[in-house]
Amino acid sequence: MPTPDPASKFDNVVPSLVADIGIGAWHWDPADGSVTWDAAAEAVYGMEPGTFPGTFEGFMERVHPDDRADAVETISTVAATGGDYSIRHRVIRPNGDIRWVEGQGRVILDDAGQPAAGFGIVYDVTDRYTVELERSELIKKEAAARDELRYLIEASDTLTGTLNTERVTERLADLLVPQIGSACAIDVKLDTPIGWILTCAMTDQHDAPALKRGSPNSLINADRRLQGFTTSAGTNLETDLDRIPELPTAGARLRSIPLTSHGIEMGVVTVVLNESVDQATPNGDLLDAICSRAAMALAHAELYADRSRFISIFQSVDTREIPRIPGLEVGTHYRPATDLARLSGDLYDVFTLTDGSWLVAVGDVCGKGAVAAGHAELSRSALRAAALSNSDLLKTLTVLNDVLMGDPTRPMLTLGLLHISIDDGKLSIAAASAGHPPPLVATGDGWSELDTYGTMLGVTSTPTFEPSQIALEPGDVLALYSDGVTEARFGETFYGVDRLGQLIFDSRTAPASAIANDVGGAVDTWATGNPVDDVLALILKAET
Amino acid sequence: MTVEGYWPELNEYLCLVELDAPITAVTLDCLVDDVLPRGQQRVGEQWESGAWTVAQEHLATQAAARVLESAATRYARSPNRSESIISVCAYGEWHSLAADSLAVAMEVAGYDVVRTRQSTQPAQVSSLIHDHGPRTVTISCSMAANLPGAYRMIRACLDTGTPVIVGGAGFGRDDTRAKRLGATAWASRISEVSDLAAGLRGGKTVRPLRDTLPADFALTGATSVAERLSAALIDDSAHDVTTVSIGTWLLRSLRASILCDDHTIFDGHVQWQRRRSVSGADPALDPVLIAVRDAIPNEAETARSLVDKHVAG
Repeated sequence: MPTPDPASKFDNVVPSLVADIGIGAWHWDPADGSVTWDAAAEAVYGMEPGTFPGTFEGFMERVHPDDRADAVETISTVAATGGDYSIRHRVIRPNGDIRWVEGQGRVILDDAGQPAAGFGIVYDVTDRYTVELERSELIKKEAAARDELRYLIEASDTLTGTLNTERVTERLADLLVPQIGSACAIDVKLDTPIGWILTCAMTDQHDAPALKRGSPNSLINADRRLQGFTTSAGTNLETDLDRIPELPTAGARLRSIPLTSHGIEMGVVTVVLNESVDQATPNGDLLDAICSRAAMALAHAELYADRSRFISIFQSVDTREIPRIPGLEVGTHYRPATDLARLSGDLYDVFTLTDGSWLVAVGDVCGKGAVAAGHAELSRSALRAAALSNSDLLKTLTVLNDVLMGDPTRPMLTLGLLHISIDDGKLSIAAASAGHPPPLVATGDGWSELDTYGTMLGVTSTPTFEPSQIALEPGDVLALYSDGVTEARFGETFYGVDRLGQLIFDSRTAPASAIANDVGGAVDTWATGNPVDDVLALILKAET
Repeated sequence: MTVEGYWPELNEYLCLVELDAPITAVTLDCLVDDVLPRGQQRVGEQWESGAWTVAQEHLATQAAARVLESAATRYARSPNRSESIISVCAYGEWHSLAADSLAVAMEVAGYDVVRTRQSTQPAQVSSLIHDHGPRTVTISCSMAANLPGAYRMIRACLDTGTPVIVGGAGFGRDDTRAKRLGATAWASRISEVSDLAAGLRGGKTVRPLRDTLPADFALTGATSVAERLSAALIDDSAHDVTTVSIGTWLLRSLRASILCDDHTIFDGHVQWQRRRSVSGADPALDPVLIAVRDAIPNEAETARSLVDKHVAG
């Protein structure tokens, strides 16, 4: 038996093997334009063996209409220039199935540069390409989700950075336009004297230049007819849109989202969505997520505003008018220990009594922060009530002690009082102390502590006090202060009374306000810029 | 009321204030950018040389404040912009005239200005921002040694997304230090600030700083440094407060130098302090410099070498 020729074995076996694994072959004869497909190629295109019509047009009929132009361009180019090509296109099979096919081809030119022959292979890549498509889609979605997450983090940072309601609405507008919508209107109801905030933002594509990046205040002014409009649970927000006349709603894709936090509906955001935003896709979720965070930021801002209004009662200690006392300059330095609330247990007050004399008070409630500030303010009010028609310092201190002893929370208070009157044209000053550091007096001869002592208030129902009397000559200085001054520390060392007394003495020729500032500056320097306690200095200087 | 030895133009201006005369000769820009700063420079020179006491310095500063107070009511105001700004001094900065001048200039330019007194605490700035929702915060820093305080305030503002314009002699002659500290903008003159603020209006919310501070800045701010310095400088005499003041200001300016990566801040402060000491207005400088150097931990090599340079000299 003759040995089979290896070459012929290869010629027979390989095509068969190739056909078996679904790779079809074709041949193009440029001389007559005929195209020959083998059975495997016909199978790739869903045709019965021998049914391919043998023309380029017959091939094109099988290619998906959307892919034809690309296929024709690629093949025509190679047909003219010779060389290899690779294409991928969809195929519509006679049964309607759509498959993905890849093909590699080669066109050989003759010596004259004209196409002499073309041949190639085709194979079905539907399964592989579907996986690739899914993977690519997943990567795209993952990238989009990552972008959205990044944007949401930025949005959270942006919205939570402020505790001011108007800024929250502006920042929300900034986040929405132009990234998600081409315009938006944010309508918020507030529990404040303003009542409403309306913020609009829109891109250049809308012909409303006055409203680009609108300021809430100007909009409130420009749009007063919105007053009285209420957003409440159950209101059909979509139908309320026409009450926001500036928003370019005609023909727009709108989305209205209530701003709800802690069960309270605070307003509504209406967005003219960008074309690319599909409300049902993650972008729609992003809009909801941003608005949800904005609502929370608004709720926090409202809580903060409430707190600020409450705190302003206590902070009035730093802003109240000090009555003019003839012959005396008054200067103050008051700085609560570092904290966002600016609340202090220190108190001071200068007020006129019913007989025309004056009371000066400097005190310190034990403790820090809001509780101490609350007690300080209550004590100050009680002091005013006790002292108003009473120029006897001991009686005032006793009444105040009774009030504090009757308070179930038993706040403890140190207090230094001065009663100032003008007798026969001369200043007369009586001093009393209830556990408070005695006032310092600086004259041309030096400085000293006033000899006045007493029991801290709120400790015992039988306090004792040792009052004293002082006469100031022109240029003399009397300084009342809180322990935050003398107990400021540099390392382990307190600033102390001696350094304070020397400072007051050295600065005594300066105006009272400057002396008070000097005390603040000296404490700041001593404590290397970080005083940890409330610092209060009240300076009285006899005019020269 | 005139102040002897004070800048003559300011004294002339002060006379107009006393007479309640109309202002025609001096524009507001000239007043805040030229007359008042030159007057304060004169105050500084007098104080540095020991020619003036603290009380005289106060008197001169009070005169300048009085001029400024009158200016607030005498210049025609632009229409209200319905825009608020907060004008503050850097934390640790007790020279408030520049911040006050800025506040007046901005009020005249039609802004609603919220201002604070000297050495505003960063937490207080945060509260004010939340309370008033300003478009911009301006921070004035006259002494470069207070730049660490300014930096803390810049951070506080940016944490709330609020842009910050900085200025004042402490920031130097260009925007290098301002940029280093993360400020949104730097103003070379007070009269520039209105336009700068208008440019920031309606802009995007600014981002918080995400920077890394130099290790030596943290090391020199440690409590142990203050404790070692206090142990070296305090002798419980009535006048040790001056020595302590010199020491703490040296430490502040050193930290400002490290923060800004700019040795000229510390060098300049040492030279200034040496002039005070040489004039007899302050005690000798070298023992304090040595105390500062010895208070700094060995690992803060940059800081120690900056001080060493002056001790050796």
